[in-house]
Amino acid sequence: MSACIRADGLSLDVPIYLQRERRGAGWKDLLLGAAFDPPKRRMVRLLEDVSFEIGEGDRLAILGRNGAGKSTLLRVLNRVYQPTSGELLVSGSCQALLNMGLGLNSEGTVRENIFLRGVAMGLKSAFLSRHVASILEFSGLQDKANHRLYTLSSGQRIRLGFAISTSVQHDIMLMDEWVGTGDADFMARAKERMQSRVGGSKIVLLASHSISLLNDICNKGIVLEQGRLVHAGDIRSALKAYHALMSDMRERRQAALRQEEAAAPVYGRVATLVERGDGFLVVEGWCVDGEGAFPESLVLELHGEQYVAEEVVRISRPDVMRQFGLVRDDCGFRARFNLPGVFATAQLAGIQVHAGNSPGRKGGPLQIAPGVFA
Amino acid sequence: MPGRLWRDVVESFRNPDFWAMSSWLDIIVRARKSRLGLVWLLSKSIIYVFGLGTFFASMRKVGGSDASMGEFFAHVGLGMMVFGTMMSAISSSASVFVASKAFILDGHVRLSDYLLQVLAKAFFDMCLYLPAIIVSLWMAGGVAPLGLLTALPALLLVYLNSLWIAALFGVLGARLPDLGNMVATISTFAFLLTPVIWYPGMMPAGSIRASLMHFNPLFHFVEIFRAPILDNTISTASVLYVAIFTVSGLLASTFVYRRYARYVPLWI
Repeated sequence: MSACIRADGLSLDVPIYLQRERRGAGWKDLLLGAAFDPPKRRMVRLLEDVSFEIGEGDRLAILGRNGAGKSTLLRVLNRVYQPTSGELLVSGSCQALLNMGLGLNSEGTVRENIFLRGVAMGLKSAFLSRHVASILEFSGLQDKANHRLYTLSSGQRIRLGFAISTSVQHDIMLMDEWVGTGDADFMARAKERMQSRVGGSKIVLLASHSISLLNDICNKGIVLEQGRLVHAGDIRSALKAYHALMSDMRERRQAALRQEEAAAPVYGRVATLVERGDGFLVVEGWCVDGEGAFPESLVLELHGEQYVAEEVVRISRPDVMRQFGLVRDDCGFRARFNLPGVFATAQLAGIQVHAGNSPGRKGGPLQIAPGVFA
Repeated sequence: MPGRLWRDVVESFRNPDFWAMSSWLDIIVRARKSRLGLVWLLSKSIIYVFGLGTFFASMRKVGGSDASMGEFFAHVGLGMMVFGTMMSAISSSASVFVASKAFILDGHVRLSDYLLQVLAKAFFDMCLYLPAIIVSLWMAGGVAPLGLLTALPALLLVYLNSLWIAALFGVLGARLPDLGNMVATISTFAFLLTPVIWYPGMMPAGSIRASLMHFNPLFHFVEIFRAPILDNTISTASVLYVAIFTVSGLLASTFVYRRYARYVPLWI
């Protein structure tokens, strides 16, 4: 049987509890209100008329702002919430990777927790006893098998949860924004495993804000906004629609509010590094933040020292715009740095280029294209 | 998707890995936190049977009964076995789905698994009474062998009823968060209203107290289990009450579960 998901006009109403707003809400009013105002029950519509269809081999990116209904949609697809109206057909076995810490008991040992979490996911204990070793190996916790879970750091717990969750192959994989903590080594292994797993699962649904991850993995995309499907199509057009939505939002927001926003993740690529003598270095490439805008500053890091770009010229890059579905094409840059004491390209090993929305807040390092140091 | 109660329950019994293992580990882990682990687990039953039993020993004379200390200990212990099981089924089930929210929202939606978790823990707690009861039955000087035989089906009935009560209260408790508080409030009263530390014969026939006691379903479940073991006759009224209670409860909970279980993930 081939795996597929068909949603036709899905809507979901959910009851929520509201406290009455008290006027002149000082702390006394707040406490009194908490004690004596009965919460009111109100229905809210989390999803409205969502329709899409995906078949075998499709990898669907679910895009949208926080609270747009991405996780809710995954829960409906995972058969947790019954849709209020509409038809849903899911064929194929389905595994959700939504909550990495689920079913772990902090007083139990790591080995016990592998069983606990595994059976909570519906795995058989016989299957698990065969896989304990490989799960421990993947999470790098072999020598901690008989330690109690609370002795583990939160990063180690995520490793463990991820290792257990991905120990079995399903037709359909639902994933939430799980890329979080974890050291670089683990993230690399996790991504590798994810991608091979993604390669193995027939259908993947991934809700994330990580544009580069989505661009790497998905071939289709949908954009949700306030529970409505505002776009469905291939990944490029979906990213474009998402960026259009975000820039629309951004224009509406006031500049003052913008400063408050947390730095969006930045991605991009360094294409060339040219040493111009006298310690001057010219870096070319492109970069863009999670909202599709050009980051405001570039910082270079070498041997623990940071250098802010002295001059940044923006360059039109229509190819990048097309690939990531951006709204504007001026995401390329040519930046000049002053690095006293650097005379040869060989001295640049280990260099990192960061982009960020303010000099003090840099994003992750940009990828450096292979062959730059050649 | 959560659907028919009995289909779910059968499925749960076929796949016991989750609920059996998580209940067991829960108990083990609780015991592991302390040095004396198992002793603490057993201590509750010892306190109830021998502590409360000794403290209220004078009660056994009030109704004109001539029970020995041993018989009174056994009376308390056997009563607690049934009362404790049913009471914990009622009180934990009212909040069981809310407590398991993370699992349910993660896609583990066979709700009967959580009900069996509750019952498994209650069963374990019940088994903890066995050592104290064996000692007190030995002090009482033996049991009625036929009584032990009827105790098994009686216990089965207790668990069948606990299951439907858990299903009903679980679903209702998910929608009505106040139910858990209400059950907790009533439980102390229910304990006093059930003849665990006193004898049913002590209630003057025809009094309000006596009719309250006869109205209390826990009384009848305790009776059908305990009376035959202690060689008292079992009253037909109790058997009849239990039969009607079981059938109507099964019907009601099957209906409620089928109609409302699908909303539980939304409610919690």
